[in-house]
Amino acid sequence: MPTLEQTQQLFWKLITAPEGVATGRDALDLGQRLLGDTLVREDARLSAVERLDIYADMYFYRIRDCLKDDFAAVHAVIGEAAFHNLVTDYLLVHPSTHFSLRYAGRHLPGFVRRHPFGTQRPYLADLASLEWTILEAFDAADAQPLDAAALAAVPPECWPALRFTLTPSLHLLDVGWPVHEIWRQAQAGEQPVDPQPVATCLCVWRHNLRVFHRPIDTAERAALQAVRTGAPFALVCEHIAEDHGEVEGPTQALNLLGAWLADGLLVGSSAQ
Amino acid sequence: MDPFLGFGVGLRTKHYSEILETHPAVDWFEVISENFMVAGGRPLHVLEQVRARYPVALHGVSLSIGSTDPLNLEYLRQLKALAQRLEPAWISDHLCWTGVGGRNAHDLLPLPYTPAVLAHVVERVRRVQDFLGRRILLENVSTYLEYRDSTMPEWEFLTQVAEQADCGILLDVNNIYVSAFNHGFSAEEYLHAVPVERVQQFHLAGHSDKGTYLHDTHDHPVCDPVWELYAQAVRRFGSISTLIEWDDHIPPFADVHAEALHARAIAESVDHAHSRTDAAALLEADHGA
Repeated sequence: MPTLEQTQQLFWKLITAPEGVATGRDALDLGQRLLGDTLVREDARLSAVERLDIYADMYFYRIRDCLKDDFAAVHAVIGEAAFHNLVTDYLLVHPSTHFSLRYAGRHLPGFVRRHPFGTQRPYLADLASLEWTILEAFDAADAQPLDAAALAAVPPECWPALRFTLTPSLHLLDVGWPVHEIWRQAQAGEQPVDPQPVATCLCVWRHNLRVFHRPIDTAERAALQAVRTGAPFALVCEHIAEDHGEVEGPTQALNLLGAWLADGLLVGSSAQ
Repeated sequence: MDPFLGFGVGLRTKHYSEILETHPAVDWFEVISENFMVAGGRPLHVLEQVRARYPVALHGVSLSIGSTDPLNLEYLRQLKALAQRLEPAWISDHLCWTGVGGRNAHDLLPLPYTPAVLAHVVERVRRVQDFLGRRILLENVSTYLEYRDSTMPEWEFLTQVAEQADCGILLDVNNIYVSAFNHGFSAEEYLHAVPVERVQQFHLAGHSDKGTYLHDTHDHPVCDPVWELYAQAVRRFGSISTLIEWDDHIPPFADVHAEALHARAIAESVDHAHSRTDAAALLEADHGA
């Protein structure tokens, strides 16, 4: 009689074989094949292989359906059959190792980058990264947005040293293609159009329980990055002035600050 | 002893807005534990609002109590933290394994029913209960195969796990019906073998008829034979907290709630042998609670 661990290891091999249990069984070494052939009861209705195939189907389709939800735009671009094949290849390399199905797709963006589908459509991995980042923002830690009225009470002399805290859901995603356009097309049910390469930074965050994203320019990216690293507001303004000049810089800095407050990007401030 | 919560519905994303806006008169909700083991955002926001109005039970799918992998302590830590935050009526999971070698199938896989596997599961249930500081409930799963090595029927294995590990049973009436068909055993015999004092919750759901087997798809209304089996279960086990699961092709909330109300009507029409108080007294006497 096999040990429980032997049984489970064999069961796993059979139900995750990409071409079905019968092919998976044929690929086993002789000892495991003999063990596999005596593992499961069969009857007139269903053979042992057919019974194991029920589990093989449930394994694959549950994860595929989850990834289809998490990467709906990738699915819209490559279509049902290709997505099915992508997930088949993916699970061979990256079976789920987390207790939650929520994380089953965490390696997919990197996997797509090296997969033939990603080579054919070089923007596909960036699109997958955007979708994964949206998911990360969706259930990131909560934080109360900073109240603009409270900031108004900060004395002018304290502003240069003011340091802001960004919402934990905020991500700055550097991509080589404007994949937010493809994402929008997929959301709208339109057939996605292959984009032209344009280096783009996407700001992804959650506000009032909804996830947003928008492309940002290099000045805003540098400014947000500076805020993230704890730089005082004076230094943040310098980053903005580098792109917008000494004259426009201060106005632009105040505009950005207003937009960040309205968007809920800032969740804390300190004059220390 | 866990309280009788009445007739509830599994909380699903599709119904979040309607539940928060209309506060339907549902007795209680069951939530999938793993869906709320996240840092923040809408799922936890919704859950806290639901919890403020309704009793809630946590129902897990990843405990993997029968796996030969070590117990996942990070999972248990997060489950315990969620329970501390939510104060659920109880915590349940499944009598199965879900992965091995650090990999997760995200499916409820069957166990061989042998004395060695029984000892393995019992020891793990005890450790889980010690860690969580509370008794858990284990659910019988729908199965599509039986191992040649099994030496006892599923109901005996389930009973022995519950008795030896001192845990409760979440009896899924639909799963009994599905597995009885798939393996050719008697659903009635199963019901009558399970100890009354261990059963603290019923599950009901719809399944699909695949011709050669029944599939526990949770995408249909509960079928008449399962309602009949439920009536028998109520007759034997008494007024047990009952919950409708619906996970695919989910209809409007009112349709799922109607199934819970139908369960209530059946339960109220059944002249059951054991009142909840009797069953509670039995278990409390067992444990000196």
